[in-house]
Amino acid sequence: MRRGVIVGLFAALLVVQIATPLTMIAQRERLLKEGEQFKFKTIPFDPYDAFRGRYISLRVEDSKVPYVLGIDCERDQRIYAHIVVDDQGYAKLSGISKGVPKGKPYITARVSYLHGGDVFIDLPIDRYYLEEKAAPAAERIYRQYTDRRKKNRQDAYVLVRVKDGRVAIEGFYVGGRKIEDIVREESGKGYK
Amino acid sequence: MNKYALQCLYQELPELVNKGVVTKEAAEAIRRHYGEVKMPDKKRFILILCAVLGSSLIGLGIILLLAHNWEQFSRLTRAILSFVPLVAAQGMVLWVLLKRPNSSAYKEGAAIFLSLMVGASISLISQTYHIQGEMSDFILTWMLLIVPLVYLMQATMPAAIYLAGIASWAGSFWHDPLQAVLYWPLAAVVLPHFIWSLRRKEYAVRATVLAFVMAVSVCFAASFSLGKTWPGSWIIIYSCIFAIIYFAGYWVFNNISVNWQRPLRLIGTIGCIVFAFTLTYESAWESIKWRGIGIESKLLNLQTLPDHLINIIIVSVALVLFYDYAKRRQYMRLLFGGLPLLAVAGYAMSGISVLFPLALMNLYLLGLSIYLIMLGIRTNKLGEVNSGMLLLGALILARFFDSDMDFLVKGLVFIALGAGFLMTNVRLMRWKGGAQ
Repeated sequence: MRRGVIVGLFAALLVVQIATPLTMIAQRERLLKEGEQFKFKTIPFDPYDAFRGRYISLRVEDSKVPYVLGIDCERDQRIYAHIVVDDQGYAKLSGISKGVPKGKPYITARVSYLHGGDVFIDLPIDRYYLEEKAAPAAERIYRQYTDRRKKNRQDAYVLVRVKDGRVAIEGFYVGGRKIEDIVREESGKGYK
Repeated sequence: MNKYALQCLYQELPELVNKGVVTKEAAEAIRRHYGEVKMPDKKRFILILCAVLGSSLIGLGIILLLAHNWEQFSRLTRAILSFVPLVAAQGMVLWVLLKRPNSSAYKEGAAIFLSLMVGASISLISQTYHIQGEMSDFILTWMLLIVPLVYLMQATMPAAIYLAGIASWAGSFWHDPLQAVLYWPLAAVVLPHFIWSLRRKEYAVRATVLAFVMAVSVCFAASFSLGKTWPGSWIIIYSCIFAIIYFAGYWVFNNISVNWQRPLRLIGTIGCIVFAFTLTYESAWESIKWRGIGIESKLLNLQTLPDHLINIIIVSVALVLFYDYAKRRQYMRLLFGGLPLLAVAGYAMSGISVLFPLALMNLYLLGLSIYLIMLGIRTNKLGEVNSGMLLLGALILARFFDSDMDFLVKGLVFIALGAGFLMTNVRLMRWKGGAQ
């Protein structure tokens, strides 16, 4: 191959290599700015990703909808999960459809499994990244605050923005406060 | 001829001429016949090795630094930060392409660094924006963004990273063979580079590394992606894969036929033997009756088509290579590479009774070990005798452990095997004049 062609092709590759992360950023920024805000109650724990660092793994508390006759659901099938807000201000799933619902907020998701007349949905809200040492502390704090046996137990929720079926996470809150702030407060000078 | 042996011969030639063993003309004729010996350039090899190791360590270090997730920085700062290592690596690669287009060390080093920085950049953005999704999506995006470097920079190390990456990607779809089967077209992307690198002497070491990674990657990915169409098909598929790797290890490719073949020979030989050994156990053949996770219930439908297609290609290649070596009457190679034929025969007979394939595989390994021992004795090679004896010993021991014989008999067999081992070795060393 001629050198000019190689350099030309290489320039194209560089553009794609930069454009990919740039698109990721642009998409998220737009979502965070323009998306509708929702709070989902969660159940977290703390795993580790070799490349992307530590995160709290999130499970949306109520991620199932009753099975509706006429919609054939298979594992991993793409569906649109409709969102409503309850009296306490938390987002809940109200139903699913195979087509984009009109005039309703929705999240593009996949069917996880079917059980006892319910369809369990794999929502794209599954991880919240934290600083290396903050994640284990955050998990401990979460367990302390949300212990069902305690009288003063508090809710944990994830604040998200939703637009055109896509989701971007804004923050993770325990008892109404951002998890990073609680960790910082509890650990004093640094994470321990 | 082996270049190290040739170099020794060339060193000996002047003395042989002086002593009148060969004439001056004969010595010249020998030199003309074999031509110049090009020994691998050690300095060049060390340079490439240092470049590869250095850039890998720095690249991985940067990934770890970014994985710390610097909370003190704002979202915007982190977004900008994620581009810094990427752009720096791209600049480095561009400089290498323009200023050092012929330096392998620069090219491999810069290509590895850029490959790792692409991953670092995507991972930092994933953290910053809490981008959801599995590790598999992240790895596939990363691998697709680096694979063009293999061709644009004629660099082998990104190809090795790519093969390892797509194998781990396929691994995450162990429950979904229809997705995992995409490993094969993805792997085929670097095949032209591998064949190209085999043709070039200066790529000998790198082709060796790539051959090794490719063989491991293929063996690993096959378990996730193939054999999901009918139960027990793994017996035929794996025997064919190991036979192909074994045969490929003996190809002669443009006279450059030593370095890159070693990993293939090693993995092929060990793979064939260990796999044949696995097939001497009843549970292997009993598995034909099981329906594992991901096994399709229908034999013929659109979902099983890719699996069938790739299996047919693998089996055909193994058979064509077997035919090729049979035509050349290389019987030693056929003994190992003939495993797929036995696996097919065993599979066909297992329907009647599992005793047939069990007897077949036991006889095969027994024959192979005796052949190796005989060959070693005939050619006076201790390595082959010991390999044969090790195989024979392992086979006997495995069958003894299967049986209900008491410890006394088992103990005596152990002692007999050990004594046989020692005696054969002492005998052979005496023949060689090595023992006192």
